[in-house]
Amino acid sequence: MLPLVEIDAAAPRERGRQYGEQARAQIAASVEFYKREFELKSGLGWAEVTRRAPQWVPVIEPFHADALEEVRGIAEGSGFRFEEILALNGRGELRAGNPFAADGCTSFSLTNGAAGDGHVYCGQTWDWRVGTKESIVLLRVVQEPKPTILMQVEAGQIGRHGANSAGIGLNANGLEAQFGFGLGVPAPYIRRRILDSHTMHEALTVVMTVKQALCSNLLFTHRDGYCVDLETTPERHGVLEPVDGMLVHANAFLAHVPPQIEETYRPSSFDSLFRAPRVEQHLRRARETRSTDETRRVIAEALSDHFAYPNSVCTHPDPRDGGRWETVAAVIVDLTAGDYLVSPGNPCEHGFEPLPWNLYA
Amino acid sequence: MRIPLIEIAGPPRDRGRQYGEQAREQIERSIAWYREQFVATASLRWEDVTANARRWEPLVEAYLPDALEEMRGIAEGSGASYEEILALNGRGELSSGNPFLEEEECSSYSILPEASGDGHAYCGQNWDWRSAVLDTVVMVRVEQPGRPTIVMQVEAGQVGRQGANSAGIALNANGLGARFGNALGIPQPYIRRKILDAWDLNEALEAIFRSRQSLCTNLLLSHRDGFAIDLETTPGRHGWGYPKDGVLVHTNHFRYFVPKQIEGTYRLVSPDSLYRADRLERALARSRETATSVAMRALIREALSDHFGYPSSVCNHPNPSDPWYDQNETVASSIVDLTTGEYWIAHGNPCRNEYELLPWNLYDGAATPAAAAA
Repeated sequence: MLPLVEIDAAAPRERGRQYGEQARAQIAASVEFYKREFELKSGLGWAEVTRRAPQWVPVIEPFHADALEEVRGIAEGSGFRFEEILALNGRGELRAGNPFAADGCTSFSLTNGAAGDGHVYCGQTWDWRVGTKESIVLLRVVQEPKPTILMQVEAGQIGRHGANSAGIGLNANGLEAQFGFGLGVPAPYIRRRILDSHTMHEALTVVMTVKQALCSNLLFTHRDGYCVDLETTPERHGVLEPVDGMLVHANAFLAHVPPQIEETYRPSSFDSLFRAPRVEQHLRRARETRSTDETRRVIAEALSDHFAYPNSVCTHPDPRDGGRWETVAAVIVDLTAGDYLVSPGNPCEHGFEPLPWNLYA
Repeated sequence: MRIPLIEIAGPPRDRGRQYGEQAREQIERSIAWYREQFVATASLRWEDVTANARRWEPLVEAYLPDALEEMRGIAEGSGASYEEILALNGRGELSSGNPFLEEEECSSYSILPEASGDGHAYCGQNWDWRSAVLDTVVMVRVEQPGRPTIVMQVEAGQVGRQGANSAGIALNANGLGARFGNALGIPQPYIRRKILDAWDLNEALEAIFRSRQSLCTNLLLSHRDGFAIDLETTPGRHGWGYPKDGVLVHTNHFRYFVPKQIEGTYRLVSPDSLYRADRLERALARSRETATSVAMRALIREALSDHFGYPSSVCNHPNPSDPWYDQNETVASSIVDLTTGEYWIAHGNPCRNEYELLPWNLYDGAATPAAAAA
């Protein structure tokens, strides 16, 4: 199982301190990794990264002041500098511009009878750089009066993908295209505010009003059986709805191709073109399942698919491109029962285990 | 079997020589035909074509260097010049752009196991091209070190077109009429060969997404494991789509998107493309009702022999009102059973030519890099 981090102090700063203390080792691993990574991918030295990171503060402050307080607390609790934790929460934005830097991930949502046990499910594989697995933690945030959140993050990050006690699930996939200028709110803060939402209206409003720098796919699922996928960009967002209660998304624009890149758009993670339909092929069988065990087994099989191995849904390092990518975690969330199942790495090897926390407890 | 069968094996230069020796006659005929055709269709003299052909070299060198070696071998074996072989592999790029001409017209299909009565994965196509090509089309089996074994249908001298490989990947292709941009790009045969050189779908897609091409063309990829994807490729963005109810059909028009570059004016060069797709789709939708592989092939043959809109039908016949250099017909029709590895080919119109089973099973070659190394 991945390291579990539970934070519950009333004040954001104190919650951050709890996080920093508990995840010190993983944060250290993450800082080490990104020091090398940024240097390699964008030529930015760590000194330069941390010198620039405070430029985000005035952008984040009006958007999510509490999260910024949490970041300060994380720095205090872990012994790292505020600027370093800011950088960990801007890693997507710092790496962007590299055309081979796309985040791989395959997300799914099953609503309205698409799962034979009648439950609402969402989840994803999280495909990321080899070397980041040591820094992943499962975070439980108790933050009255806001909903309680369960999410998987790289240690030090205050948001990524997960679900909350209001019954909202958020899954995310990189969309590597980049256009537009200026400093935007980094993805972790946007995702955290989504997961801070009590209602779908709140969650969607976050996305429709934020000023962001990156393109990112966000899949929203609600326990009441609603699902929508938004291909978000610095400008227009594309909307995709489930078909027969099922929605699967990888890392290519499907709902629209933004006009800014329309003439030349080619997804650099072209494995998306088979990852998404392969998961769909598996998940179509979920409708016929008769028990929750059976439904979850079908979902686990979908996320373990090895078609076109190693660049498969369940991603393994490919020696042909230097072995840089793998599935670092995979998640199945049963939004009906509140069960949160995690595979700490490739699901083909680990299988899924439930967290000791129920979403609604 | 009337269609010449060429079997080549070994390192690129060697297998090229074998190809050239075995297909010498067809290569000569093909050169003679395109020599006249380029003048008539593109006002290009053969001397100018061959004088410029080497401009492709650096592009191909960076993309698929073995192909250049193979072509040097083909030239040596056939007695043609290397530049002439380069030209045969750039015939689409050389002859397109003439507004009065019909493009290469093909009707391709893929049937997933869930949709076929015998549970097999099928794919194939009618390859509609100049009538003269009937005498230059050959089937080539390529056994190559470290790469899958390929079975493909080509015009003699070409290093890639349509076919399938021992890793269970098949490629069918259709012209897409439109043209935009005027940069020199990688000619289709190399892109298609690189796809057929792939061990898995990721490599196949990489060949398509990391290339610089000058033509628009439709590429249908099928995999024995029951997967198919169709890509409308252009010099810019590519569009793509998947089977519906287990069947995918594509002809010669954009179905998934219209490229921004031609959005204001796009009209079909081959209007028959519209009804060919519909006819073929409806005929193949009955695949579920068959019980045996024999019945499946009979159903596919019937679908590919369709004469709606004759002579511009799925089973394409020459139209006497077209000029001599623009006489088109179905020069070959294929049924590939990706489950059993059987490759069936009809030389010419399927309405009057039987499908014959090639003596090569796809899976006599290696399925994985590890198996190839062993």
